[in-house]
Amino acid sequence: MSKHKVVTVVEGVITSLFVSLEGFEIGMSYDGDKTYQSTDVLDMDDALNIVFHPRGIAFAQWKITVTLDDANEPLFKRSGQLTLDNESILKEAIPVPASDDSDGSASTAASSKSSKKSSKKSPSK
Amino acid sequence: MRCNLKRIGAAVALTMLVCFSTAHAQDAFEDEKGDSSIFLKDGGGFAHVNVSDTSVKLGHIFERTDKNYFFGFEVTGKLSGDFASLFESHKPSPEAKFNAFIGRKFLFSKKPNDQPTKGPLTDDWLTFRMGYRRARYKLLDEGNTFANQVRKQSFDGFSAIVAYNAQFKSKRGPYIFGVTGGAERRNNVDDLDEVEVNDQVFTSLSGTTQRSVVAKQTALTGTYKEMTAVPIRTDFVWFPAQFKSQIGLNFFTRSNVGQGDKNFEPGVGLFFSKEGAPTRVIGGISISLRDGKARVGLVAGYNF
Repeated sequence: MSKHKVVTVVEGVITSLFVSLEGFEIGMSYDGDKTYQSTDVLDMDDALNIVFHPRGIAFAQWKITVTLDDANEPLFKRSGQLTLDNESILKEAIPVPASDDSDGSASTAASSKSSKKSSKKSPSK
Repeated sequence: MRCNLKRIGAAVALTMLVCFSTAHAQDAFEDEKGDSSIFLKDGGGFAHVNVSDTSVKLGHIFERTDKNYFFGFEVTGKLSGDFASLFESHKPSPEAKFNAFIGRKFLFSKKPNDQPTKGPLTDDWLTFRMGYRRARYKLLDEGNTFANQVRKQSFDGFSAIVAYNAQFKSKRGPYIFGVTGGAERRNNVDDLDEVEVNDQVFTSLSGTTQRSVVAKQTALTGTYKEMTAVPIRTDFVWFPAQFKSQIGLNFFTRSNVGQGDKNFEPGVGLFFSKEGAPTRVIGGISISLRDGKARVGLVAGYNF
C-alpha cells in the first residue's frame, strides 16, 4: 500500500455530484461554471476504486479525469451524458501502475499541500 | 472630448467583456421582465443579456459537493436606452442591482451516493436571496418652475425572496419546478411615459446660416410612486425527451399580492439550450398575458 496524490476533475452542467475514491467521499470545489475539482492523498494498492454519480437534467454531458502523482497523462478519463433518469453511475477499479518509490516519497510535496483535505474524508454510504 | 468619450466607452465595453468571460448568472428561464423562480445553483455559468429588459447580469456561486449548502452573489446592470446603446452611446448603466444568496440542497431529495436515485425527485434546493437595487431617473413635471421641471429621482429598492426548486425525472423528459415568494420595494417607472426634452442652448446667425445648439435629455413623465410588492412566481420547465433537452418549454405565472399593481400574469416560454448543457440557454421567447394583453419577451444567453 502506498500514498498517491489524486487530482479529480469533473466537467459538466450538473446539479449535484458524488465522487468517492477508495470508499471515501471527496469534496469537490465548484468553480461557478462547469468544473468541479479536488486534490486528495490516498493510500491504495494496485487499483483505485472510484464511484462517480452526477445528477442533473437528462442528456447533460459530463467528463471525469483522474490524474495520479502529477503525471502528464491522466490515469482515467471517461465522458458520457446523463440518462433519462437524470443521472449516471460509474463504478470502476482503475489499475494503478507500479511505482519505483512505493513508500510514497514521490508525493511528499503533494501530501503536505492537500493533507488538510484528505484528513477530512469520511466513508461513503 | 468625443475622443475621450470613445476611449471611456471602449474601456467600459472591454471591462464588461472581461467580466462576461469570468462571471456567471443563475437565472436561465427568464420572462420579459427578467424574472424567474428557477434558480440554478449549478449550471448557470454564463453572463446573461435580457434583450427585452435591456439588462446584463453577472454573478458567482460558491459550492462544494460534500456540503449541503451554497452561497454567492450576482450583479445586474440595466441599460439606459435600447440594447444597442450599450455599445454605441458609451453610457454606463443607470440602474444597478446586487443580490446575495444562500441555499440549502437536498430538502426532500437524497444526496447522491453510490446507488441509483429512487423516486421521480432527483434534486431539490431552497434559496434565500436578499437584494439591493439602486436607480436614478429623470422625471419631468410640467407643473414645477422652469428650473425644477426636470428633476432627478433616486430609488433604493430592497428585496428578500425565498425560492424552492425541484428537479424530476420522467420518461417523457425531465422537468424543473420552481416557486418563489417574498417582498420587494418597487416603483412604477415602467408605467410612466418616456419623453425627450430639448433645451435650445443658443442660436447664432452668420449670413444666411442659422446655428442652434440643442441639449437633449430623456425623462419620464407621469406620477412617480413607490410601493412594497409581494411577488409570487411559479415556473414549470419541461424538456421533451425527443429534443434531448435542447428545447425547454416554460409554463409560468407572475403575480403580486402586495401593494401597487395587484395582478396575475400567466405565460409560456420556449427556450433553446446548448447541446449537452440543458440549462445553458442560448435564446428564448416568452409570451405572457396581463390585463388581457399579450406581452412578448426575448432572452439571449451568452456563453463564453
